[in-house]
Amino acid sequence: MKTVTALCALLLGNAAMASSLVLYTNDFEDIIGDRFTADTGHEIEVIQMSGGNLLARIAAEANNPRWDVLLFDGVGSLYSMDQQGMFMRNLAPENEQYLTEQGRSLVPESRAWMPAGTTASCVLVYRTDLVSEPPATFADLTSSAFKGVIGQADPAVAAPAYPCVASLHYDMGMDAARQLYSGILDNDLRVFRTNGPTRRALSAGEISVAMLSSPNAYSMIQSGEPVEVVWPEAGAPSSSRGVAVQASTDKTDAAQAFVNWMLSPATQQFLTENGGADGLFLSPVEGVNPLSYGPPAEAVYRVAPAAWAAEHEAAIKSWFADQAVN
Amino acid sequence: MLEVSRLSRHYGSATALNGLDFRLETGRVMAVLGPSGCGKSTLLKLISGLEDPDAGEVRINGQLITSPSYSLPPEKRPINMVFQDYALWPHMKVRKIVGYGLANMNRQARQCRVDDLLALMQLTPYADRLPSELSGGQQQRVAIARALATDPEVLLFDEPLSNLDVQLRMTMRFELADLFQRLNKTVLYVTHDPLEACALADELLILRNGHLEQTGTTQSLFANPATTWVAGLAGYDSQLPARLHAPLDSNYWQVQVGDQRLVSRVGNPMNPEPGKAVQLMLHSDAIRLCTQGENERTDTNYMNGTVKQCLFEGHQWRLRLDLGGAELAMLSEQAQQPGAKLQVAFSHQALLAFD
Amino acid sequence: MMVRRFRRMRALKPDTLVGIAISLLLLILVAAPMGLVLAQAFFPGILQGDLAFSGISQLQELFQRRLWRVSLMNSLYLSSYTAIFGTLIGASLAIIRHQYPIKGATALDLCAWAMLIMPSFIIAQGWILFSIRDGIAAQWLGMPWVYDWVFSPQGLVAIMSFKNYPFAYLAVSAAMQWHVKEYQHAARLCGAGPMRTLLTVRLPLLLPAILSGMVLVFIDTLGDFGLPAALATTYRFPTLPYTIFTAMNQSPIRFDLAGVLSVYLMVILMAAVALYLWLLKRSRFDFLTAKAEAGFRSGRRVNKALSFVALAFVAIALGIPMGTSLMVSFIDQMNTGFTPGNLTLVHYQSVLQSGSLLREALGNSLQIALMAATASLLVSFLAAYLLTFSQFYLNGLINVICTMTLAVPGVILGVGFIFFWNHPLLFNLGLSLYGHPFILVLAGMAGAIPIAIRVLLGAMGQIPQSFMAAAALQGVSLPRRLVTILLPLTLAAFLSAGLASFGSSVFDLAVTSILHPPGYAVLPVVIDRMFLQGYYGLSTASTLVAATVTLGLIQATQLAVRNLFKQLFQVHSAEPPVNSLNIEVRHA
Repeated sequence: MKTVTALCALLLGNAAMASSLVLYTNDFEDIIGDRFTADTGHEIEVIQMSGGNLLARIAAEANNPRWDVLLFDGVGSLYSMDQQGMFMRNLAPENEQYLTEQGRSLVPESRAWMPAGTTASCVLVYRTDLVSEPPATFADLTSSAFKGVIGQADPAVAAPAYPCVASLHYDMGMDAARQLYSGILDNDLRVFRTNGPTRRALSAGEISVAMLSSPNAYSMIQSGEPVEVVWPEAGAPSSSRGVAVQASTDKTDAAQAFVNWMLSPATQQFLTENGGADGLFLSPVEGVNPLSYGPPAEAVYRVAPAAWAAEHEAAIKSWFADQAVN
Repeated sequence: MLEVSRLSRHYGSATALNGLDFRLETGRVMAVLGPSGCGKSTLLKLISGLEDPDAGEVRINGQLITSPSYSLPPEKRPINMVFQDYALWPHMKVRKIVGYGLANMNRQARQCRVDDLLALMQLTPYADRLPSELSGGQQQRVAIARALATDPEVLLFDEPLSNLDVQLRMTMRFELADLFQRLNKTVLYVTHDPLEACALADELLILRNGHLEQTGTTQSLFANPATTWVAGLAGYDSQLPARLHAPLDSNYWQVQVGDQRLVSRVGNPMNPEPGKAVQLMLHSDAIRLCTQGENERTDTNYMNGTVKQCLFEGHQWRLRLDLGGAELAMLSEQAQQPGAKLQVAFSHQALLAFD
Repeated sequence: MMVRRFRRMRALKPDTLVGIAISLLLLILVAAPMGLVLAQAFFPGILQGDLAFSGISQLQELFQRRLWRVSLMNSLYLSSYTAIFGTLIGASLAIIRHQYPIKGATALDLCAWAMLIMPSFIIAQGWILFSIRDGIAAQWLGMPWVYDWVFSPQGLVAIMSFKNYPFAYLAVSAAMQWHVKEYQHAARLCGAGPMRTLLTVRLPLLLPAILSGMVLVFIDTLGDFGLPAALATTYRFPTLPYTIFTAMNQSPIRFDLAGVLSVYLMVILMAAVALYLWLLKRSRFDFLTAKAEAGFRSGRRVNKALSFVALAFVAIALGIPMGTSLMVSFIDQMNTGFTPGNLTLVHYQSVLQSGSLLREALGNSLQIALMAATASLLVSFLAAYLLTFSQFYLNGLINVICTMTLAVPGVILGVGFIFFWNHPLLFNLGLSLYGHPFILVLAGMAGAIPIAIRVLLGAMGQIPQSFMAAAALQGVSLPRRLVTILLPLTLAAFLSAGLASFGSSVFDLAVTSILHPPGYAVLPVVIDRMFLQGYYGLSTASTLVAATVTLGLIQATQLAVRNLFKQLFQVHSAEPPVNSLNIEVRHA
């Protein structure tokens, strides 16, 4: 009995987390914490979850949020959380002055989050050794040549996968996009949980073409795997990462310091250089040197408007989940 | 003093005990007698607190022990019990079993008390044995020693001898009778064996289908059973259908059995009138064979019958006699051939007539 | 009636006090969360404290969304076929094991217990690593067709049959352990050959055991979360438990639909449990007489063909998934092969180094499991005591709660716990445990109690009522009676129940996936995550390390207790009957 009491005490102690800032993120979990503390002096606890889990956790905690700051890839979800009053609005970090034009275009009207980087959520990647006639557009994926060998991450689970599906729907119109996806799905599209396993399946040759996020795509090339990237000429469906502050946080100072820190060119350069594959992103601030093996400088990123992506999120995801059932 | 009033217990629609009333004075031994399912075990469970009654109450020395709205937990009642299966905990040694209920004594006092009890029950040599290392009789005595240890006001026995073989049962009967005499405890002793009941108890309580059939001191009850059923229990094992013929006095009537006329005691309660159909009950021990040319006595009934069956019972024979329409069981010192014609005799007093 | 009960409560018998405490605990731990799951389907606003009745329209949504329909059909397909084939395998092996002299009988028994104890996500991971395109079968054994065989509905039925056959095997074995030779002798004397005797006498007598084994296989497969969770990256085969999980764990979050799907799952499971209990009641060994004897040993020569079948089965069912995990944990590159140059200890070094995630997760999970097992053992012991030895008037309720929840999958338990412990009412009381590690202890208890009670009930049922009555009449308090009489006499069952609870909560993937607080590492989630991210070497090494540590602890405890109370185990302790252990339904 004594042991149990002691253990209970231990557990309760464990859980009563120190009063440090709590960050929910789906990227950069290994490098953010120490650097932020070193730069600003604020303690931070970094909790990493895949995009879907992260949103679920935030929804489940709606009565009693356990997080203070959020770093999340997908403006649609950010928008709907803002609409539910979860974010502190009117952020005005000092470092906003460094934003590029592209970065400024991503700041929402409510100023509830600040842009923290953009990546292509899906580009076409194919195995040069397995594919003789590479696809040029997403429409090519309906060709019977690719039956059963196309893969993609699940938009309901992977943070960048929904923006991919959403911007395709936005650009093409709902009906045309559904038709395209039906065609790809009928071609036995393999849906993996996240981009990681999709990439692994491509490496292993389980699939020979993948709709993969740009960081995954370019780091595959970098590691010498026999793949090529096709960046659609009209621009790749893209997703933007945002940093937001929880509406009722009691650590306002530290939280705002975090937002400001994210926008500093030094931080952006640090994340670019040390984030591994996560570092392959288009920075929203001036003066950041991208990784040499990343997407070409002239690559076009197409981000669906946050409001539109939020409005159609449930419908698109449900439709996709229902269609993707074998 | 143990007082039980209007005690009832139902299981679903079945009635295990129905409005039972009795009282037992301090120091008296009462045997509860009846066949299995008569409510004996339920009575013990209600008194000991293993179950609660639906109606009625139990008091010990005037203190309320249980009623439908109040139930003292078993461990708080001044009661102890010897179980049918002895319930000796298999993982404890005899000494520990006997001393189990004495936790509130200091070590020395407890040891003393346990030693006394072991000596009383002649168990001293077995103090460090496990129950599995004891004989049936020894186990029985351990169970009794444990029940005595807490010095209960009322001691309950639940068919304690039923698990023993015949010889041991006889020995234990003597031992228990002796023990009851010495202890001067209030004892409620449940059994289905009438002989055991007579041997051990001062008073009898006879239960049937959950209600009280008859109660009284042992001898009066055996002499005057109130119903054919109690008579059967008391060893009246032959039953003859008959009709009342004419009264001789307030206790005796002439009765007609087939074509033979006998004289019978009239059991109570009953409203005798000539021509009324009755059942005659007769104890096999009371019947003897007539010798040839025996003088007929006025206080004796005589009957003629044919031997139907003859069973050897070790030192005597049990006969089934056909009386022409009725049958009679009796004991004989000699073997008899089936078909042999016999005359038997029994006193007027041995024959009891019931409704 | 109420007045009477109330007055009796005032008398405050110890049994009553314990009974009320246990009933309250079970209500909070099990009944209330389950009730909320069910209520959610009809009162979608209940989580926000809104009690508007929505009718049954929510239930109909199942038929509108293809994913849910398919999940239901997949679940029914998988569990029905697994019930059939798993039972076929289990019953045949049991008959072979007990009817014929074979080599490898012990291996069969061990294999059955191992498969029963091992969480399904670990078995599934082994099979997946064996079968994927760069896995053992394709890369090293030159059998690429294994991929298509395994990753098909039929292949999954095979995996689940290999995983869950022990329910049937152990049920039939238990029934075969006692038998009346005269029945067979009579049949032989009437001129029936061995085969006809088996088919006409033995099998009909075994039918209740076979059927109840089949229901258990069905229940466990239907509630299984580990297989679809492990498959998620490789092959889409959504089942109800997995779809429930995703409904709550992926944006857009639909707690309400998780509730609706849970209702469907629960209705099917309850029907199966009812059938099982009915079968159990009917098969009360009433064909056994006093002449029944244990075992069947004949001096005939070893049957070589059947021995081969038995050993081959063990090699496939246990050998493939576990052997694969073992090999993968020791190799560097999956696609290079099992060559000396490719052997490495780096995965073990990585997961064992100080400060590693596995160490943290294992430590946390062991703590949680220890607390959950201790607490659930205590509660189950008291509850089993009440059910066996007392007249407590809520016994019926306790029994119903425990029986109903016997088969509730961890996923539904998790949903219920979120609904309950994150409810605004509790939150306002300052009792919101969601997001706190302690909720894992409570969930572990809720999962373990129904099983532990079954095990303890089996053992206590063998103890005469008079043992406890005699102790009470000695004037001894209830706690002392329990410790000095009941505990020593049921120690073996007590130990098994506790260790089984411990083992299953260490590896409970479903509950921990749903309830673990962010940033709080727990073992099954960490292993599952390593696997899903493709770190196969790390995930297999972690699995083997964690399994070794857990089994080591279990074994050490067992030995220590058995040594300490040698005397109790030698002579008197009431061993749990094999049949009650069969009920152990796991959902990992």
